Amino acid sequence: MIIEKISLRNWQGYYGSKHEFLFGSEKPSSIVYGKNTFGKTAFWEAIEFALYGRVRKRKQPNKFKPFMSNQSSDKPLLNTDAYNEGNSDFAVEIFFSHEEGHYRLLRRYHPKFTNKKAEKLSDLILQLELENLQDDTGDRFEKNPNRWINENILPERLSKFFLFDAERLEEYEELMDSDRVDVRLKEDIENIIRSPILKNGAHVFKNLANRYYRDYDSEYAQNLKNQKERKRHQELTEEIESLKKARTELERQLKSWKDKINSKQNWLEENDKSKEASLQIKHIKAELTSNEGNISSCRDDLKSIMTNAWRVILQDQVNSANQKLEKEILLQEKMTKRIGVIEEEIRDKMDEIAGKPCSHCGAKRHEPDDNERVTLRNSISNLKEEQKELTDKSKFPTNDDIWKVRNALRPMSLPERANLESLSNKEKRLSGLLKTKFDLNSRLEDAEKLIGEDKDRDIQKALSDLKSYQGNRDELIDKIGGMKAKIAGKSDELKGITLSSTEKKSVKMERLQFADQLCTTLSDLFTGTLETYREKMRKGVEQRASEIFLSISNNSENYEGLRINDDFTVNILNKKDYMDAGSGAQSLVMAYSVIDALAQCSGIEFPMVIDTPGRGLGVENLNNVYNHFLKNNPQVIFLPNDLELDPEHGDKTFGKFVGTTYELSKVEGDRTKVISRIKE
Amino acid sequence: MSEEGIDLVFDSHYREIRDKMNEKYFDSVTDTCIFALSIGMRLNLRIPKAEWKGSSLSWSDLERVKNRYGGFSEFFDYLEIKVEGMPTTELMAEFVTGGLKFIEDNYLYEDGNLGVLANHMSDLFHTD
Repeated sequence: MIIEKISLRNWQGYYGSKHEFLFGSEKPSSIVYGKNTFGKTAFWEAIEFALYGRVRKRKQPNKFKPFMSNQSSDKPLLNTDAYNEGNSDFAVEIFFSHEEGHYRLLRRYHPKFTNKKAEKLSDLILQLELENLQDDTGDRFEKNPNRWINENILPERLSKFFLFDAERLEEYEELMDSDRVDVRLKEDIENIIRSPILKNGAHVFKNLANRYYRDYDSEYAQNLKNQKERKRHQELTEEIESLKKARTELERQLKSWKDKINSKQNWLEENDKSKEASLQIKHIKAELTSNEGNISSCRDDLKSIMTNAWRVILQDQVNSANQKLEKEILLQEKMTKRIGVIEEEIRDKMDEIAGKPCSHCGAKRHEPDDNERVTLRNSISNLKEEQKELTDKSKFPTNDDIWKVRNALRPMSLPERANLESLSNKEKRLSGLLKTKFDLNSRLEDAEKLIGEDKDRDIQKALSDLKSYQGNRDELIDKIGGMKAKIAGKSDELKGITLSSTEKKSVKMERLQFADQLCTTLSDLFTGTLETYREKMRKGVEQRASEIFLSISNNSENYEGLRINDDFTVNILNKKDYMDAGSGAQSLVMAYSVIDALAQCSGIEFPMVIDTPGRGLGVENLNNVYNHFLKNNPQVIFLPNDLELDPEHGDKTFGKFVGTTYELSKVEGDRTKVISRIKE
Repeated sequence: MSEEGIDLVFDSHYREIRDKMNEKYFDSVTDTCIFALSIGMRLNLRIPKAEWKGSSLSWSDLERVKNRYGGFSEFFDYLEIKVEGMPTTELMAEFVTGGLKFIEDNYLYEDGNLGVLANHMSDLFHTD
């Protein structure tokens, strides 16, 4: 949070409504000078009021200032002059930026009734507005500003670390005394370093774990009502578990035997193929033998046919030669026969010429005349010529020739006409037989491939092994069967015990047990983390506070720094290695150091507003305080009195760190006037 | 002129063919050559001696053939298969060589090829 502007109306000493404090946008820090009672603390309290709606009393931090003058003798928040004039309208308005947003916060009290003077708080109406100036959605006003401020800006309890008033140093003095550590302050410090988140987490989970544990115990006790049942339940559970393990082992062995059996059976199946192949080979070989015989027989037949084939091939020519010879012989016989006929005709004609009776029938013939004799003699002459010609012709072939030719052709001749159809048939048959032979040889080769050496011996061994394996398997199956029966029996007994209780409880108890374990784990985790985190923060604050302390102190050469103890009490470490509580001035320096370190380590962004910063501090220390805070904090508003910082000197020395400065004065008696000195 | 006792020959180029044929179908080289002679005569496949690729190789003599297979000289005479001035034995040699060439050309010495004969002597392979 960075304060940009503060407007006051009838606020304590600020009478009327024209009191404004602007803070620079580039340098938001500021110094508001003012003598005591001129309105510095009222300004400081205006911020507290705007944020939290009330103002703590100095010296009495648990009590609050009254709103109006008639409420107590203390100075009221409502300007007395205004009150006396009947104007009970007072307000503080702050414009600020926070996390890149711009806001307007108005806390105003005004009379409830127009016709009646407000004399007590109940006569006033609160007007509280927290407006988001950048919200264009139409819902610019926060519904619950108080909660928003505590949650988003700064919780009221922690405001003391930012709204610092040296006059209230006693509120922090407990830090110096371990015997008087104010529990509330320690809690505040724990809050500011944010360890309660972890502490609360650990606490919540621890409580939850305890609750779940109790519930679990109750559930457990309810479900297992007596020790006997519980014991029997346990025994049965263990026995079943043991039996199941034994069964698992037997099943593993069974699987192993089954695998072995399968392996052997597979091997034997393959071997059966070999056996089959062996039979096939035997059969094929028999077929081959038969086939070879047929081929041989066929070849013999072919040879036989081929040996005589030449006769068949030449038979037409041989027949032709034979026929020619027979024709010649027939012609020769005809000619011989004719020659005989001619001889008889010649003899008959000569008998006729001689007048002799017919030699065939003995009949007398007449005596031929001369002409007839001439004709007969010519006829005889012609016959003799024919006889001579035929006799010449019929000499060939001679008997010798015929014999030779017949002898020559006889071995070539066939008794009757033959053909070579049988040759063709035989050759077709041979081709078929040869093809069969080739096929049989192929089948034989395939079958022989399937058969290895020593097959029979291996088969016998495999069969023996298989029988042994099957025996082992059957034995195991019996054992497993017995074991299953035992398990079933014990399971039934177990069900009888646990059916009404254990089964019902199981889910709920498991949930409770799980929840207990989870919460215990989370509690331990938070506790462990808390310790680590807290120690880390303590060291961080200690280191930062020591740096600030040495930076601010005018006697830093004598000090090592500050020690912040586990309970957040603080000691000053001097170089002689002892601790002391320090003087009053040192206490203030130490308080500044610790508060600033806490503010920085907390990560909270809030302006440091320091009223009467120099109580008891020397000039040098005070200058160091101004320098340190103005240099190192995003926004610091110092409210020094005239003894703590002269306005002229202040503007000259620290003007470079601030955007604006103001001087408060008094006018018209007790009314505060705001004079702007350095303007942005 | 007596031809008895005169060697019967063929072109030695066909010796291997004769032997293959003999191994497969016959009991003697004479049977083989008589078969070749019959083919040569039937199909009139005569290779004149002048065209032979090898020398003359004897396969028998005329007298032995006459005793067992018949008188080819008379047969030739009767069929008037004669060439003027050429002895019957020489004529037979040319027919045998022609027959062996046919056997070679048609691979008759290998199984299944005898059926080729039917293409050339179809009358001998059908029953009327």
